[in-house]
Amino acid sequence: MFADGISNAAVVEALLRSLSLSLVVALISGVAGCLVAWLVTRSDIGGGRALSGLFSMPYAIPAYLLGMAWIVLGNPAVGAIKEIFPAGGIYGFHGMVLVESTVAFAFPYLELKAGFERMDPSLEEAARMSGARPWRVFRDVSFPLLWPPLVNGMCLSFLYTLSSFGVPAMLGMPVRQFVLTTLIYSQFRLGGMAGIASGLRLSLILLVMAMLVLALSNRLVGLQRRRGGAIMGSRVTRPGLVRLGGGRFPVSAAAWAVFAAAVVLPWGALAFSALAPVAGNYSPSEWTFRNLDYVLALPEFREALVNSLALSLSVATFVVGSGFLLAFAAVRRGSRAAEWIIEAMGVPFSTPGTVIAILLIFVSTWAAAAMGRLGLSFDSPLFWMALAYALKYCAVSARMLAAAYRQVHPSLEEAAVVSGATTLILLRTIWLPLLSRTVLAAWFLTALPMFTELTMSVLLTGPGGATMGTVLFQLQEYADQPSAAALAWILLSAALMGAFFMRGRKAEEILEGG
Amino acid sequence: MSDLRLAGVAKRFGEKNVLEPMDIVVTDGSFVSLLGPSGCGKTTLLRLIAGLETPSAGEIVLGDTVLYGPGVNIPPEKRRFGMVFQSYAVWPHMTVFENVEYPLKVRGMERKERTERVMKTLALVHMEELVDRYPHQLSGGQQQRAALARGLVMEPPVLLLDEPLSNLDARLRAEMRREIRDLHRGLGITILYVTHDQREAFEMATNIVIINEGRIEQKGTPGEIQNDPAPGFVREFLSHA
Repeated sequence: MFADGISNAAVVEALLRSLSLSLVVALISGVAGCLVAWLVTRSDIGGGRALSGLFSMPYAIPAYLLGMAWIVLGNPAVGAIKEIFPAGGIYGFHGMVLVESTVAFAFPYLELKAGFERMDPSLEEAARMSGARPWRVFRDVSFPLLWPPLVNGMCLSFLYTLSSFGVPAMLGMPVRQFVLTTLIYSQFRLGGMAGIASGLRLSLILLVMAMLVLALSNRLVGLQRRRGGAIMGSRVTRPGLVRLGGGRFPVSAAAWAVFAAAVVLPWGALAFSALAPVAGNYSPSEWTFRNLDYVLALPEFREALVNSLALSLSVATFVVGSGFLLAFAAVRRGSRAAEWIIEAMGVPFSTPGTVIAILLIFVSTWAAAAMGRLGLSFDSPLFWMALAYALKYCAVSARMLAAAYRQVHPSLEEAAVVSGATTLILLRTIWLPLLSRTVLAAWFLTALPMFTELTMSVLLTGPGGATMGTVLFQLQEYADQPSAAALAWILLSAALMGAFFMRGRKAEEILEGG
Repeated sequence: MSDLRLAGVAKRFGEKNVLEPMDIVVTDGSFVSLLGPSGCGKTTLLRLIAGLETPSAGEIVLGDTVLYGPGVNIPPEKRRFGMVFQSYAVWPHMTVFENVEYPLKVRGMERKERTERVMKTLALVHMEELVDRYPHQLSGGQQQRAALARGLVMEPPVLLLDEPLSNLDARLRAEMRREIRDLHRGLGITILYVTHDQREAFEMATNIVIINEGRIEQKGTPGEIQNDPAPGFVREFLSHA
């Protein structure tokens, strides 16, 4: 009924797996995010300031790169630490939970960290002065006041996992554990209109799920805003930090170890694997650059590098440029149309990439047929990818910029207007310099995920349309682990560098925006 | 008896000396005001006493109990002080009754006794009519009264107040000054009161400690200070009444 060539039972199974995976990841992320957010904002944990920024880094790392790293570590045949995994190694439900949680953790963490930072610390201190120990303070005061951002963060984790493709493709598909996104992909791979049609029908289920969670998340954001005033700090007070006492050393060591296991270990695993002569042989004496040389010389790699660079640079510039103008019109000129467009951008942002890609494939097939009747031919996967990237990522920059416009006092603009500046001069001489940091940050936050994009690219790719994500995915599918690891290592290094420079950006700027 | 004694208490943040070593005695039943311009370190001093910040040196003793000293640092929840914050910090998810009841509940007092104590304390601050209101249904002055009741309810050895009136309007401030002074006289409790407002200090306190840039400039009764202000900062400060 849902799709040709597969049983309803298979669809239901994939749906249930999607839901249970997303739920488990959301719960783990919520608990871990809550714990870490509390430790870095409210306790005297060692290196708290550094950890506070470092723990936000996974947010900017494509999860599938971590997935590949964990395959190096937990592959049942040649994994470097395969002993710590069950018989099937990293493959399967537990592996997907592990890797998705590493990244999805960032959502509740960033939401709650921002909540703790905005809340008046006296509310918690008053409870301590009343005799409550730190845990009781959390239970009676912090949690009742901060549960909306926490649960909202968990909704975002849920949505993220529900929409993710790379990790279930790499860790689930090899053992025939499908989720909705990978089932759509496999249906689409059957080819033809039948494949697209079943992909579309399955996408509809995915979309409905996503929208339900999003509606809940929006309600929570609304609740948070209404309550915000009552718990916001009236002045900037440094909270009195809870002394961990004898637990300080073990807790700090554990936090640093978790960070190392989540980020440093996968990076190292990819590096080792990239330098290994064959998968499983990690002895340093036999290290070789052959894999890196091989990957860098691949014609597909050259093509992908050019495509991904061209796509991410041009689309990010277009998206940030139009966001700069739209946000100006909406915030500074009160344009209802611009406001509405920025609001509407939230729809593709929250729509799973797989659904966007399938819809665009449907549109492109229709467009190709229409043009064929006119005797024209237009078939460029890059065009559709550019459109998909623009749709998916336009909300981030527009919202960041709208928030930035709102923070600047109108008198700065009015002074320029009184001096005789026209709108264009105003934008160039006042707003661009004032907002340059936000513009740059928005550009990075848009360009980086596009450069490594996999979910939509893998469906939209075609002849001449290889990207970094699709080449990596192919190498992984052909089980050429050392070459795949070499490429993944390069990409993860780039993503980590980007994430390191972007760490500490206010969470709400990115997640909620205006 | 239960005098509060500070000996050589100092605080550094990194390289910066926020508080030079200072000695202060708050005798049982007195009303001591820490007076000084904003940023002088008076709030930090109060937070050191409360246990919300850790001193860099010195000793804090209440009666026979060392609260902070070599190898000792009792956490704030075990120091048994009452505290009123500048932002009131009444919990928005609890009613007035629940806010005031909280310190007794945390300490495991029986419900019946709790209710009695809460109602008695709320009567002291003229809030007995508003027990079931939530903070957003209260005016700023009423929130302040609820915070005051919460600080008083467990009959603490010392009540710490951090600029409690600075967010109120002038008329309400005058009213609250009178009430806090009456509470001090009526209950015989010990009060340590941080303010930048000379009028509050001189109208209510039995003793004043004037602080500037982390140092004690002068200690004494309001009369002593008024009659013989220390040359330099204190004279300058008091002339801007």
